[in-house]
Amino acid sequence: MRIVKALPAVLICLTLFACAEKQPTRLTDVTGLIADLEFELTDENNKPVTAKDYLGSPIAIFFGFTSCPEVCPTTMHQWSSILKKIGEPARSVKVLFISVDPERDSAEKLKNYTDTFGPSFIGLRGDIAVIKEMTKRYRVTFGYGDKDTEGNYEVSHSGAVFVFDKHGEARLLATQSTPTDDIYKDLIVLLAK
Amino acid sequence: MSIIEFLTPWEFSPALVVFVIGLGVFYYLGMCVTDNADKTAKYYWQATSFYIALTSIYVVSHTYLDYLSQYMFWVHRFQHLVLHHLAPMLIILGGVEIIRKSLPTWLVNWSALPAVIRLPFEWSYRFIQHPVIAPVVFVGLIYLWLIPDIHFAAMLSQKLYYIMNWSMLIDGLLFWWLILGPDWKGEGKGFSVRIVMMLVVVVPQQLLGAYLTLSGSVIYDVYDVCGRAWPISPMADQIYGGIITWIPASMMSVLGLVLVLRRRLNYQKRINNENS
Repeated sequence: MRIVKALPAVLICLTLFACAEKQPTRLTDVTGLIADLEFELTDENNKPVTAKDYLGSPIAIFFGFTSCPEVCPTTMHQWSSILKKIGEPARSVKVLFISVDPERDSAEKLKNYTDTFGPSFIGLRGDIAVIKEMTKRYRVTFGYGDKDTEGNYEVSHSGAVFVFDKHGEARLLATQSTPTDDIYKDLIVLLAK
Repeated sequence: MSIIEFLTPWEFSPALVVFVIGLGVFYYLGMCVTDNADKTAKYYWQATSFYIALTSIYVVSHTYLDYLSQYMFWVHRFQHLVLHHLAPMLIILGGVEIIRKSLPTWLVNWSALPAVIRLPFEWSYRFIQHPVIAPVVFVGLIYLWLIPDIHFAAMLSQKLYYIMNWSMLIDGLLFWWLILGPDWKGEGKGFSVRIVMMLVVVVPQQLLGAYLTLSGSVIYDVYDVCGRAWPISPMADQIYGGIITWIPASMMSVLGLVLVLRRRLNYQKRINNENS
């Protein structure tokens, strides 16, 4: 029984040692913790796409919806400003905005939305069941509130941005409280790899 | 949501299925070999208590509630209330020792095993069941998994999530076995130690629950990172979770205290009757 008790401590120590061997990151290092990038969705041009179509440069994914009042636009603006600041080397970076509200987010609506942030931003959508399966893979979720008289409803969703390297392996996790400068610095390191 | 959707495991866990079915079957087999003369009202109450507990472990760990526990702080606190307090207590009160009658003989004749296998288990068991260590571990585990960084990792990593829930369940069983298990029938020896242990675990749980409930800021950001099961304000989620940690959890411990007192009184009554 003692072994069972000690397991969490041992695991945490092992994780810490594992981190110590690598170059420290400012963002949460999720290497090995989170599944690699994999999906089959349709993009904002209604074209079927898979994760492989975007490999070759770092990829950031975010689960949001276009009618989101705060978290989504803030995060997208943050990433847009980071990519602009990095400039040329960040041109190949892709930020995939995956809609958790596909009923309201048509491909056209997604395209209009992502265009405001820049060419690196791509909207993706799929059936709710497919998106649910995908969010489960990354241990996040989303849910809907009750509709009001005008048919509007709230959506709860993850505020995290998962960053994958050019091979599609999970590397970093940025949250709402992550300073922009930390994302900027870690992204530069990831781009240099 | 249909009943099938509710019962479908969010993440299938063979270990849990084996544990629940195994324990349930051994208990049933133990019942089968019990003499009819021993089948009193208490016996049936115990069986009911045991199977309610086993079902509740399954429901909070292997159904839609498991999904909610990962994406809602207050449901997570409810899950731990069941895994650490309610279910283990009901299993011990349910007379789980009946499985001795149906377990394989090598396990029943534990002392016949070679020392090399037996001793590490016995030493660890004696260590963790020490009257000073047991309450510290019982409360310590609740605090450990609620340290924000550890909580974050546990909710993000499936392995850590399983270790968290199993550690709560196993520790719950060990602790309630120590307090209300069949080894203590209500004798004077061991009474005060049990009372002190129960008192020692109540206060830190109340402090933690009060802290979570009354804290003005969101302590656990993992639910914002991962998203919540349905839209609810993070503060409301935390307050509900805090209240579950504060009131029902410490009430369960107070109930434990009452049960210890009751067992002692019943024992005294029995002794007095025998003497008179």
